[in-house]
Amino acid sequence: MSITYENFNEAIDTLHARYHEQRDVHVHGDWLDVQVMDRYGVSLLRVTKRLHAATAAAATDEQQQWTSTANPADGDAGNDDGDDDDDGKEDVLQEVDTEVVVRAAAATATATATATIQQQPSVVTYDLLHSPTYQVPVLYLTTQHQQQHTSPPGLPPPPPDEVYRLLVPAAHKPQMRAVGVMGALTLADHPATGRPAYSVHPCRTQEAMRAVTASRSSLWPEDYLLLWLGLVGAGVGLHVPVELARALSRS
Amino acid sequence: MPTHVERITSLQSKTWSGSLALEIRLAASDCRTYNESEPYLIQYPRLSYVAFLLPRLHAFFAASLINPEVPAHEAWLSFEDVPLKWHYPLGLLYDLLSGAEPVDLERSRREEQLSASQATAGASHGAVPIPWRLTIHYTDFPGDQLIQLDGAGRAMLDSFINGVKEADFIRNGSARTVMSLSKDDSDKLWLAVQTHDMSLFNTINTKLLNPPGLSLRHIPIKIYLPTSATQPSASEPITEETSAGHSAGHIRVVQSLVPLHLPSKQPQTLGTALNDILPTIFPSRRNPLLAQPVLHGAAVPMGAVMEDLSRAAAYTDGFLHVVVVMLG
Repeated sequence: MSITYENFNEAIDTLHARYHEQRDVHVHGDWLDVQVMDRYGVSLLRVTKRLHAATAAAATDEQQQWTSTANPADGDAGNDDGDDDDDGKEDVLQEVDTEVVVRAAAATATATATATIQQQPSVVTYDLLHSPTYQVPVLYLTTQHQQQHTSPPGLPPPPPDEVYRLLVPAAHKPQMRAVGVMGALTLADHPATGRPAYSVHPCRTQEAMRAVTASRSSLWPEDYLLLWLGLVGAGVGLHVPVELARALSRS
Repeated sequence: MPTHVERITSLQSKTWSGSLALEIRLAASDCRTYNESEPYLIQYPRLSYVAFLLPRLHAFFAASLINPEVPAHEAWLSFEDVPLKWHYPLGLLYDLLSGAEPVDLERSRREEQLSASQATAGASHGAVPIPWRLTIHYTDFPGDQLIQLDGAGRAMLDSFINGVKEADFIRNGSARTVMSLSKDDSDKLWLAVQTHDMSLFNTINTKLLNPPGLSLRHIPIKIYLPTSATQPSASEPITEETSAGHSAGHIRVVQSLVPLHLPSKQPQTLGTALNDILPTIFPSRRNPLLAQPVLHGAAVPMGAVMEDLSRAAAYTDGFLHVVVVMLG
């Protein structure tokens, strides 16, 4: 089931409005900010999400190329991200697995060769755009360093394994990794910035959305977006805060 | 008098034989000697990908490299400090970045009675094209702007296949046809791209263009708009994105579903499509008033029928990659 560009825009505008109405509720949560942007004629929803210090530290131990510095410990270490485990049980598609391994190897070499100061990213940016080809939303994500002065220019995105560890705390064991048709992260050019970013490929989203919406002939755009976020966003650590979901849903 | 099919086939042949002279030099910072090392010269197909050259370039420059241990696939190419994206075919990169004047087919036809196919081949009017001067680097990979390759060529294959799937989806409303190609067929397709073999390519591509039981709905096209061009309705860039590497300006990639026919049942032309998708830049369906659509180095006539253009002049991933060049 697809969504038109107009309805997509309506849905993201509504999400943005609801978030800001509830700003006080979210200020201590994971969703640091929600913006609607029109970037070179492409509209997108940008969700800036906090990464937890605990998650970041766990990931550090396993990756030599990411040097652990003093962790910015203003996160809520005890926060529960437990509702993502139902996505993790599917078998990895053969081609996705190989692709991820090859990319990880390539990116690891780069990170080791080019990184000077490594700082744990403490913020991740999720950009929701509309795919004109597939007529579904598409997700692009970038990890960022809040302290600008410690972020050397020219840094590549981290390897896929690292990204999963940062985003989906329960998935640090390979077999628990949140992949399957919806969770496969690949590097692609961000449609608005032209820079490499991780993306969940939209080609299977339409099918999956159809399956999930089978019993309903039509959906309010906001409900479509919520369903999509549950399907695609959850696999990469983007969970809609409960209060926001309640305020957004029309059904 | 050639049939329509013969003309399309002939045009496709001309598209595939289009090539560019490249002159590739080693970056000074990677070069052992103070003097410039010898440049690598090659006539390379517009439809192909420069990544395939990396092993040869590495062999050529190995003796001059400060660090010869750097693997061939860690190199990157630039034109005037702008990194070249691996998944863009050479012809697209050239149309986008070189600043070369496109050949104007309409004017050629009116002035000299030349056929469109002759102009597309690029050898026209006695002008000698100057080689496109590129730089190859083996250090300081711009990981924030370019996706790095791997030694097995997997990144290139994946992005190509994603392009083919997307083109298939656009054409038919599903990627079923591509997904159902046998392993043998997909291997042949990729081999045909790597070796630039049009006949081998066509044996597989014909299956993609003529899927049983499915009718062609939309034409796969991507439109590239350099935003240093004036756009009356352009919105402001977000300041966080501007950085040193963007001296060439941002390139906006526009995609929209282009049906084969207009509601009136008339065939869709390049002019009607552009007028629909970018009305402020193409206010007329027939005349390029403010900008020209450029494909394979030529300004394509607005009257070109999209279906024919797609069959004759698409790149290997199935897309028409059209660059908009502002006039005046």
